[in-house]
Amino acid sequence: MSTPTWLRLDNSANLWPAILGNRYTTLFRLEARLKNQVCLPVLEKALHAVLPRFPFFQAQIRAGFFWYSLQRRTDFPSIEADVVNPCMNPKLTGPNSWPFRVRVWDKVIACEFSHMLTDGTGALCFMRTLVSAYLEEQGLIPEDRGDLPEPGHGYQADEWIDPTALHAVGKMPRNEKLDKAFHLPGRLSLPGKYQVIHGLTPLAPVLEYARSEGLRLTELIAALYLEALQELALKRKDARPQHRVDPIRLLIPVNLRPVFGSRTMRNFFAFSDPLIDPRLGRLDFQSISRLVYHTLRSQTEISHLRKLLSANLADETAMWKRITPLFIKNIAIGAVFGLSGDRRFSSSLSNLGVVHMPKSQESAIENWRFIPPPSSVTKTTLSLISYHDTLCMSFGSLLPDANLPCTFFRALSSRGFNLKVESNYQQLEDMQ
Amino acid sequence: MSIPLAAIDSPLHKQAGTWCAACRVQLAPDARVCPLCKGPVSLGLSATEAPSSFPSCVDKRPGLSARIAKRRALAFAIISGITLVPAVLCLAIEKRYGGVAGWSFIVLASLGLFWGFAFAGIAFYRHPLPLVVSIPVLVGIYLRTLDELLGFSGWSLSLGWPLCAVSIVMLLLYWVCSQLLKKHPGIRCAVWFALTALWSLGIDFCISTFRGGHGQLSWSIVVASALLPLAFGIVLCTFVYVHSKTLQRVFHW
Repeated sequence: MSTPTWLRLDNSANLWPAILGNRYTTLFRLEARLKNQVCLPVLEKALHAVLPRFPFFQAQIRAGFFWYSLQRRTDFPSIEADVVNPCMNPKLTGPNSWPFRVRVWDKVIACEFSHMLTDGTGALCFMRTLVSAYLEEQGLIPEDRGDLPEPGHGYQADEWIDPTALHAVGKMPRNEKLDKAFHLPGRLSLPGKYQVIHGLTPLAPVLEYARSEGLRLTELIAALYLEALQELALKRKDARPQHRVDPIRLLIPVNLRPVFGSRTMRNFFAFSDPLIDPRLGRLDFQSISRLVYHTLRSQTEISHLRKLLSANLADETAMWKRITPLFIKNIAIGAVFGLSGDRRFSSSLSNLGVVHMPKSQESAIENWRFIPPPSSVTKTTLSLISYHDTLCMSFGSLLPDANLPCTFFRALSSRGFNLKVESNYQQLEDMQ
Repeated sequence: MSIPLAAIDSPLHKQAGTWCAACRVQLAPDARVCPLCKGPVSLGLSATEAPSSFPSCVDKRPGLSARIAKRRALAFAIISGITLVPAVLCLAIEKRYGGVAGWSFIVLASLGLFWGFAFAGIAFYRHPLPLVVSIPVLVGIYLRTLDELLGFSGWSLSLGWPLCAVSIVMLLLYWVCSQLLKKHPGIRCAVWFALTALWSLGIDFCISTFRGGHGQLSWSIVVASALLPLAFGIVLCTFVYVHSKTLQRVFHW
């Protein structure tokens, strides 16, 4: 099977090149913290073995006349030294660019992916394969690889088909227009700074608490997060009564692969958007969790998801959009995104779920972390990832203060969860 | 090259092999510098645990200031090109058809004013005070040039420059009051009204001095008498409104 030399960007990815900026880098980060220091030559060898299995990760994003595309490369990206301010200062488009980068420091192997290339699930699949190949080179041969792709084997064609086009159905009603949502107050940090706070907690007590409330993990964290946002919104309302307080809307990406039985490596998600309105008064945790529960379940109905996919596809395939030159499209997309993009959401919460590794390699990994992409509009975002018995909650923030993470972590610890918090705030303060 | 995990676990191994102390990773045995940070290599790791959960190395923005300078230079070149081409054309046309220091110099002066505005915009980007002050200065120079070219018996000195001077002073005052009264929007608004009244008085004075030889205020008194009570009312409301329930009831919006 010959690999094509170029590929269209998928439906969601078409948006990102138009809005790239100093702060809007579209990069998210997955890192595996091992129990031992990383051996660089071995990691290089593993990367060279794994990349051919993911042929369109070994690619660069190039501008065409009408659209951007992924163009295959034959060389390999060089591994970089890890830094204290992740997901910043990338060169993502144009010749000699890579839409992802591998970074290493001490016991950490990290990959930063652009959303133009893939989503969290696709990136996690690559990252698991890379770490597994690295550990295999170290002598930890897996007996059963499970769903892990095997390096050295040919790629599967269906992994690289744009799933939106595949699963959308005919004409559907357009997506509803959403109003502007509440945003955290405060001036953004200087470009190049990205504050990260990890909160690590044992997974079992959180799951048990969620079950006792009749919720799933994502629903519980979403409810707590909305409560923390409500706290800040009401505090702001008290301090400045003359100012309007907008509703609080959370963006929660939903992985569509299990719903549609897809194995794609491209972006394939829809979103759910639970909302509370602080103008109606303070809601208690029970009310918020009920609201989140019903919203998430109703918005993950397959018919609703199909509608979203079809509407997204219709947006891309409209004739006037297809024949508009790229530079005009970029201006228009940038303007539309400014008016109705992240503006509609107060923050986002992304849960990648539990990471599974082959049995023999599990003990070599301490934990996994997932840093969300920066957004200059929502300013602070949250992501979750679990490994073994540890849940890692990571905040990525462009604000110099940590009010939201502190409020959220306080809400967690007040419920009796033990938290270990790590952040790069101190190092960033020293950074000039 | 591959090192068994069990071997890495042992403290003995930590002292062996080639390491980068800054990146804290093991390198190829023949490495002379770290390929990641280009720093020196060492033959062992001194500490088993990293001092922090985050690396100390910072990803600095590659050449942001250089990028901005490049963009500014490009904008400057484009503006210069846009003004230079018609200027040369006008001079050439006038010379070709026998004119001597006529209309082409007026066009040249106007293009110069346009170039000056553009240059000020590029040079004082995000510096509002020098940007705003440079505008009346440029206009003053332009007026003086026109005066010289057209032989209008020095009106630019007696009218144009005083008007520009008044504008510069008033703009400075606007800026100072904006800075000082940042946290008092009501009072700032009132002071702006008062300054606008003062500005109109200054303009009226300059014009009447130019026309009649002595300063005589006319229309500006009407403007000032409309604006000053408004300013006074705003100040009054700022102090009284927050304490008076009646005012709040009457003026709520």
